[in-house]
Amino acid sequence: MRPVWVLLGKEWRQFLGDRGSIMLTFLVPFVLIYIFGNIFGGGDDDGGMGAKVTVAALNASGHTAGDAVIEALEAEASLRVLRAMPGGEGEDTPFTPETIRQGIVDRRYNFAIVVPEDYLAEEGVGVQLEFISNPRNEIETQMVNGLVQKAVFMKLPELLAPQADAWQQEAMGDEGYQAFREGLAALLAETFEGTEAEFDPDQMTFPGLLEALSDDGASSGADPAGPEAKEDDEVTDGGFGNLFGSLLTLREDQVYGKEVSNPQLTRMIGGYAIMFLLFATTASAASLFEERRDGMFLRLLSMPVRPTHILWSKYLFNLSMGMIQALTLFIASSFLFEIDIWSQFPTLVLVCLLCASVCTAFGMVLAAVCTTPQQAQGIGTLLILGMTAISGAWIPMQFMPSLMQSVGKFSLVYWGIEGFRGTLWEGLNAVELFWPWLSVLVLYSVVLLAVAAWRFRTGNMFH
Amino acid sequence: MIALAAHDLRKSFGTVQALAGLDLEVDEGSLFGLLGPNGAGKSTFMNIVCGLHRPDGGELSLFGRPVNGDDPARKLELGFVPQHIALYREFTAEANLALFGRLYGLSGSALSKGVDAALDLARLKDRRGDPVKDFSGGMMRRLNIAVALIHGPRLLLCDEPTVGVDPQSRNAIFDTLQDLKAGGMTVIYSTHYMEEAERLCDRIAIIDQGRILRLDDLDGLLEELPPVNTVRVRKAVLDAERTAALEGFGEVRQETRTMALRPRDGFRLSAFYAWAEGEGLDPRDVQVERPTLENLFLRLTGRELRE
Repeated sequence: MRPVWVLLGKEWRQFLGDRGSIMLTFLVPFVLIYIFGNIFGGGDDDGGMGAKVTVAALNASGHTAGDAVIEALEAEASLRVLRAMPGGEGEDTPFTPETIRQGIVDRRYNFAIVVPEDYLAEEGVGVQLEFISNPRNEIETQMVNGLVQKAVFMKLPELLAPQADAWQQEAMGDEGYQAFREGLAALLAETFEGTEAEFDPDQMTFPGLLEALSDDGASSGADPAGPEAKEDDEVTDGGFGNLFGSLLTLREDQVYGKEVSNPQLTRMIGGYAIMFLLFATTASAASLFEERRDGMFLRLLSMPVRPTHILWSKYLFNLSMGMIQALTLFIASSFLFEIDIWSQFPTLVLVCLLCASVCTAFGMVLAAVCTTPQQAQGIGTLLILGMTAISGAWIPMQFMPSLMQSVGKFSLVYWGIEGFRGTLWEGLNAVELFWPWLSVLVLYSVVLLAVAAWRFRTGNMFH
Repeated sequence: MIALAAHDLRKSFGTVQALAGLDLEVDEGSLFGLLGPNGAGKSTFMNIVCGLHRPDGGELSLFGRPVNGDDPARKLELGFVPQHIALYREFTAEANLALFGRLYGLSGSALSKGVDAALDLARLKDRRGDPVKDFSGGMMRRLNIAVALIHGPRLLLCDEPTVGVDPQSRNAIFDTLQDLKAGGMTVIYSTHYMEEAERLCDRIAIIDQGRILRLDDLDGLLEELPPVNTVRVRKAVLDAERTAALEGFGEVRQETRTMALRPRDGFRLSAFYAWAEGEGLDPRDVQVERPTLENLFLRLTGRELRE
């Protein structure tokens, strides 16, 4: 083993003698995490992946139900709702059906919702809303679609009330309708006799009743589920929605990531760390080609040095460099964007070690299989980008076809990402991560190193 | 004692036969030249001796012991000077020597002594602390040789060690090799520079297509050639009469203001001088070109270009 340590010392001495390399080793992870951190909303402003999507909204119906829908959209944390076109000097111009569409054409925003003047269906029961979009981003479009549907669903009773009222009036006739309302008012007055409540027959319409019930709910604080149900983590619709909104109470229980301070970046950082490691270690593997070109292997192998000694020294050096760079990247993310790396730091170090190992082994396989550094660079770039794309590093795997999801799980990048997510997002320790995440990374390292050693023995690198 | 013996050594790379039954013996303490065109098999032979390649067949022994596989003990008896300048250029001369010395298993005072001796041999003591990248080509070549000597090998293998060096450095390298030989070291010197082989080597093997074509000392090799290679007479014009007269001596042609004769077998120089005197030619203008190693080399390996 002595030659391995002598050669490893040589690698370190070469590295430490190159100030540029030292600087880049620490600078590149900082710059990389600074860029990606800001992309994923790590900055001070409201930009990044956590930014709000702008949606223009117009209630052309003039009906309060239309305003209610828009208010429901405004309540969504992921949306920024524009009710008027921002002017140059702070003077906003109210939207019209024409100008709101023009805003999309002019790329001022990508989504608009219009409650049209004739939003009620002429026949049957239903409402018609206009959703105008420029779906440039599939994920963004799906998110906005979902939120609009949610807002409309929550306000559906109010939207449908005028139509229901008109349908009832038509069915009963004017006189019958008037008699129904007076009878209902009288019945309510009799029921609530002795209270201060007053019941006007003119209010005995669907919209009027819904409004009255809503006001009552809001003023009295009455809640069918009882006051104990009003917890912070419950999502209910207040005001008018107390009647219908209370039909659905979503009690949230976030199992993992509740305490994570920067969720977007915490989810994504693992994927970018792996991609960075793969590119860095693949580039390092190219040094094998340089040494071959310079005849260094002939000299070394004429000494009491075996090819395995050279390979182990390269592996250990690239492994340690990968570790240093990955840890630098995570420490930078901690200082710059408050990613919590410290609560599971030993596990993070272990995951970094295994990821650096598997990436180094991957780089060595490339060097062993390819015959020129250009080939290694080309094939390496293709494989790295391909693996990261199908492994959920860029977009969640759930958005991919099921076949690609299955294929992605064969990628070493996938297991690295899962290892980092398990550590940073779910807060798992090394024992909890051992199977299957860490075990698969170890297995990949062993297999790739074995392939590299076999190819180096039978290929042209050392001959 | 025989330092190195190869018998029927064979090695192929795919369909290319690099060694096709190579036989040779190198005496201990001699400077042995391996002369051949590109692709003749010189480097393959050296790589096999160093353990970089395994032969497909045949026998190889080093100082009387058969060579089998990758034996670290055997490698300690060898020093290999590769064709490339295989040095870490960002390291100093001293750091390079120390690194390779450690790989040969040296440490402590043995390493320090080895480094000092190697620097002395390469005449680089005063530049020991300078990075190799600042050295001239000749200095790098000298250090390239010194690295192979740091552990005191018994056999030094030099694979074209003077490529691209200036005459001064080349002479310094020759002096070093002759000093090593005088100290009892066996040196195998691969080259395609004829004058280097002529000047340095006790015995020379001409190798081509993986076989030894001739193996002898310089005189023995030149005995194969006629004693006179070419006779040139300056300021002589070849006319029809002279052409007819000279055809008895050999093949004649006119070069610029010079008449050149390639003698036939049985050519006698005294007869030629007599003819020249009769023609009124000045004997001082007669140049007799003796056969060289290059003549033999080209005769044996042909004049076709080797790519």
